[in-house]
Amino acid sequence: MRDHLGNTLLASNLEFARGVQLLDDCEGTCNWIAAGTGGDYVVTYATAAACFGLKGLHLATRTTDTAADDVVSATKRFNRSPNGLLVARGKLMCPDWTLVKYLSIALNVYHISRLYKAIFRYTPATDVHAYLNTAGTYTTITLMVERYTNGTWLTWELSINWTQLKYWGLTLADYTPAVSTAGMYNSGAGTTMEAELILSIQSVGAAVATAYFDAISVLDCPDI
Amino acid sequence: MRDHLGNELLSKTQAFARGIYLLEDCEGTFHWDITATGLDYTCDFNSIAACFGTYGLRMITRTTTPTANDYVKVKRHFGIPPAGLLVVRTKVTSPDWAHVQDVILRLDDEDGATSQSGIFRFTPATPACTYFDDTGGYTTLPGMDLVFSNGTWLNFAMAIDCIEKEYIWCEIAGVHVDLPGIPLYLWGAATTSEIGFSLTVMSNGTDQATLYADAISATEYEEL
Repeated sequence: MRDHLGNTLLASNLEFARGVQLLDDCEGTCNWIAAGTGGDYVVTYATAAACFGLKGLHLATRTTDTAADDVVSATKRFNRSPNGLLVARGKLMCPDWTLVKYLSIALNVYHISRLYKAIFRYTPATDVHAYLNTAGTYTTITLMVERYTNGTWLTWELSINWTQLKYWGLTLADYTPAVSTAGMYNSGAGTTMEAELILSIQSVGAAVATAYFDAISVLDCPDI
Repeated sequence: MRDHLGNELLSKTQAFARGIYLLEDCEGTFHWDITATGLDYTCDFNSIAACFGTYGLRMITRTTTPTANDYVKVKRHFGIPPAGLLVVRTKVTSPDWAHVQDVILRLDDEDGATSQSGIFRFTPATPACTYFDDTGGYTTLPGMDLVFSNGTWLNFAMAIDCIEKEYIWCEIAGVHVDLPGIPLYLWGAATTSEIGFSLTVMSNGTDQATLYADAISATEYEEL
């Protein structure tokens, strides 16, 4: 059989590259699946949310009848990677961390009739960074005690090895704790065969919590 | 004569690269040939169909008197790759897989003497993926009985050998099946020399079937 390897689509139009599951510069159409408490939460592309370019992904909890623990989330679903690795990455910023109870990034996989979850959660009030463990509770990353200034853009990354059902890596800002032995949480039955990225925030009290995201990608292998 | 082989156009504008036959980001002008059942089907670039950027390819079967097996098909024609290898890739999703009978990726290889086809078909309701074999029937592919949530973007791809007139592989949602030595289906004689590439959605019943596609490419080599 002849050599089937040749030209690679490594250049400008990354959307055509084989390992790219999601590549959202938040400049086009916002087709994230939106969910939240109440009716007037916000999941949209907005200029205020731009880290690069003209727009970014704007998440805000509801405006009407605001209450503590209001949530808003944006979800994208895509196929699982053939090599078992999924790397989600992006930038995030919060204009007022005091209004955010939790900021969560979830990378879930539906695999062999089960839903396995990997969730990275930041609690601004206590500076606690944590991940969802195999028991379904959050394990604090003890060496990761950071506080962030309002308006600071942070690089985030969450990666999993879904064939082993384990975390592969976490990063927020400049810190990358070792989590590669941590297993994903088996949360129950699932009937589909896919993966999903969920970005979400939860409000502290009766005020609108807001977070901005930009340059969001999911690849099936790490950068070299 | 000097050596005309050298650096390839792997950077910025991929449309100029040697091995690229089709690179459709669905952001520009709609130039696909359309065939469909009835008159009031939909086939256009629309923002709701975007996986990347602002627009994607939207295909919806007819509104008036919809029946089972209504279809919408888009097709492009291009030359036969000199290396003989052809890889087509796209991302597809449906807002309601229950209304979709089949999604069909098809390559028609006409070399001036014969017309042969490679056809890769996803049937969500079964669920199953099949290929069109050399007897004119569909053969089920192992490990591709996959169920997906509505709105999940799936990689959908196929590779054929235009010299040996064989399939090379098929892939959906990261599940890859090699098809070494499996011949394409021979339709008969042909006088033209070209490749026809088509994507089809068929309805499952009396509800309209909808398919979205984006990042559609045809290249003459596989990625590294």
